[in-house]
Amino acid sequence: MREPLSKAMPPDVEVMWFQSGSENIASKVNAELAAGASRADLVLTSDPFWYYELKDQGCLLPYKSEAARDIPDIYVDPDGAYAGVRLPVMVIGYNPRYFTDNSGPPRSWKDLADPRFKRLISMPNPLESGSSFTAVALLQSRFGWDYFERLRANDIIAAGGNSSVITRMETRERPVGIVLLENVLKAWDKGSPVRPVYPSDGTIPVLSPIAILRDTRNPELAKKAYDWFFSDEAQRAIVRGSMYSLIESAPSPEHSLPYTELKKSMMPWSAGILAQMFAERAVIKSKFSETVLR
Amino acid sequence: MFADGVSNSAVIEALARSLSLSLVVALVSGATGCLAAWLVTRSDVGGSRALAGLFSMPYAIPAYLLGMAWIVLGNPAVGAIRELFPEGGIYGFHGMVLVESTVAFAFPYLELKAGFERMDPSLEEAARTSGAGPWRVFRDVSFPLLWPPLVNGMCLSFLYTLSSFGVPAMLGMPVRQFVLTTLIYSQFKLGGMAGIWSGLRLSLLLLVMAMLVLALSNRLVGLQRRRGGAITGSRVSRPGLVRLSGARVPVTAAAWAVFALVVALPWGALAFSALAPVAGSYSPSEWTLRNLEYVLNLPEFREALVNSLALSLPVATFVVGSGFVLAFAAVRRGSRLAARLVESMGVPFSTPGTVIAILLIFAATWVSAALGRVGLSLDSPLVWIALAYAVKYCAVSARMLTAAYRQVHPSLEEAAVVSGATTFILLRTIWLPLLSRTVLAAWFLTALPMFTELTMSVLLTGPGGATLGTVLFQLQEYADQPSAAALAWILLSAALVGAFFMRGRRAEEILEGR
Repeated sequence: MREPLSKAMPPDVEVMWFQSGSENIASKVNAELAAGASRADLVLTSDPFWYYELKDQGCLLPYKSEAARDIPDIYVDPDGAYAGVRLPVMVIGYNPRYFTDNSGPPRSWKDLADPRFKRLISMPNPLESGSSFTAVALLQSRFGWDYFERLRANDIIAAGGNSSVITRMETRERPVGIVLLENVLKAWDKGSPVRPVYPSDGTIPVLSPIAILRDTRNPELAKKAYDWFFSDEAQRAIVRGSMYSLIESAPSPEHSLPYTELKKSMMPWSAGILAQMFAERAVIKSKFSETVLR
Repeated sequence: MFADGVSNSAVIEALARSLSLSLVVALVSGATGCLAAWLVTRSDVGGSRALAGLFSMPYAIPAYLLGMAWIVLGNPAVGAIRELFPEGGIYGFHGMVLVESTVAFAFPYLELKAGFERMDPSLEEAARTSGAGPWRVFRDVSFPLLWPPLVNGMCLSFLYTLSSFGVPAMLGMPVRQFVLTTLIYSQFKLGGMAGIWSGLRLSLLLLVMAMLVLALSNRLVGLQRRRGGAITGSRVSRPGLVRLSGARVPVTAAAWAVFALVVALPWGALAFSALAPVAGSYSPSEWTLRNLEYVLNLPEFREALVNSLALSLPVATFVVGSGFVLAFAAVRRGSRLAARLVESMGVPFSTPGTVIAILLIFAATWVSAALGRVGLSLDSPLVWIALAYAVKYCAVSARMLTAAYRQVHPSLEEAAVVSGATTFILLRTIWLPLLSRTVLAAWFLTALPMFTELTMSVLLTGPGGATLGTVLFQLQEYADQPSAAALAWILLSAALVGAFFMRGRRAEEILEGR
């Protein structure tokens, strides 16, 4: 995306791009903000809670962009502090080479708590991965902490990021995983045997917003770049990166369930849910630590 | 009490695990390092020249990649040698001890190897001629002289393990075995400033432990110093080697087997992983060069290679150069300031990289704001990465060189001073040649971890600041395990080639100005 963005900007503007994991970007920008000012103009990561916190601290520049008009309201901050630019989803992944007999892979989140899957499951550590935290928050509000106690009894591994879950599935160390769909699709594309299951009790949406930092030195250019991320060109690049676009008319990623189908079984998402999960964030994280990590 | 959201018993459990892990690793590394150093310098073990260089190789592999390789080998489902491990495979305390020791082993090994080489072998020969066996010679002659570098090497192993994060994260966290560094990391990840403060408080606990160990080792070495050093020289005749006679074949076989275990096996595991189309498909019929091609053609790879060389070579040279002078001032000139400086370097060395990086980001933002007020700008993240490397790794060379200065009797220097030599001439003509092996070992131990550093680089990097460590992280997180293994394998192979050239005397001759 770096090159087309550069082309979309005025010719004398150089786009400086820094790419890393959501948590690393948050650590870096948070530390910069705590010390005075961040050097970033725009931020785009898959940790909705971080945006919520940044807005709360008054670190974001409100911008109600006309370019984001096709994004459903539930994914846009009413004050214009941020807007969802793409939609990663958490699903169940599995390695079919492990399930060669009659016992099939899990079909729902509920299945994962079945003793049949003891020592078969891994997930990313929700303390490290924003997408995994969203999954934990939504699953505990739906099934309660009792569900995680049963996952713990199934000796679930909760460590590393989404890519380590893929590796554990591929090596059959843990042939089942709670994982981002995009990681499964990318692995599939490279010839990996790993396949997704869209859980019957609901795939988990992980909002991935974009926002402008209040102290940007180039507000006009930042807005221009912000708008570009909602353009057809940018949205197509997002879909090529195996993530869903939030614009209904956009195509769905290759090998994936069409967005219209996916929407029917997706767990509900709203600004209210985001606010509630944010308020309980510390409690959810420490409760998870006690229940699963100890 | 210690941290928010964590019970005291969890903190104490992590603390106890950190200490016992570091202690076991220090003991294992000390014993094996001592034996290995003796074998390659004092015995007629087969292929000793090759072994001497190869034994220090695991240190060239970033510990988290070594962890990755061992997970491939000891994976409880498909690992090639999983039968050698308990049911859970490589995961757990035993796995952490194994992998940490293969890295931390380099500290006592290289220190003792340099020590043996510096030591006048005629002392041992005199004992041997008087009828003492190899063990008696070691116990009564070599060991009393090599005590400072051994303690110092074990101390570095201990501190290295205490502050290490990658291996406990990969091999401990999946089975819920936390150590202090992984607990600190979890605290940072709990989010918000509360988590950062709580993590910093736990770091203080870690620091207190490190200071205690440093104080203890300083006392031990101080006791030794009062007993006096030994006359040594660099141009002593080649030592008469101890004949292993009947044991030569089995000892040689065992030495090479250890090398195979700690170097060749992980190297092979990474090669297999790099050739696999996807993780876990290791059958030769599926091998592909796609991952290697992908990495070599990655534009970031070239940028990172240039940056990592431009960072590690000058920073390591600067750090070792200043350590050489500082240790001289501390030991030979009795400067208290220099001695305190060398001691305080143990603090950043035993502080987890994550903590150092967070503190440096604060510093960087303040400095650029201050510079901005006077119209200057400091845009390159490389400056801060260089500073982080220098701060984190300065302890290794300063401590090694301090121990080395202590081991040498000052008679040569005194002769030179009587003849009117200045400090500069002293350092250049007497100490640099005398300590050349230690200087080299220290440079090696400083430059290599910088070349592949990950923990601090990932947080400090920014646009234009890719290093090999950050590219590895990118590949691991966003590409796939085989691509990351491909880069890891390239790095390890390059390090092996480097070690091959280090093995000869050439580098020493350059240092000695011949």
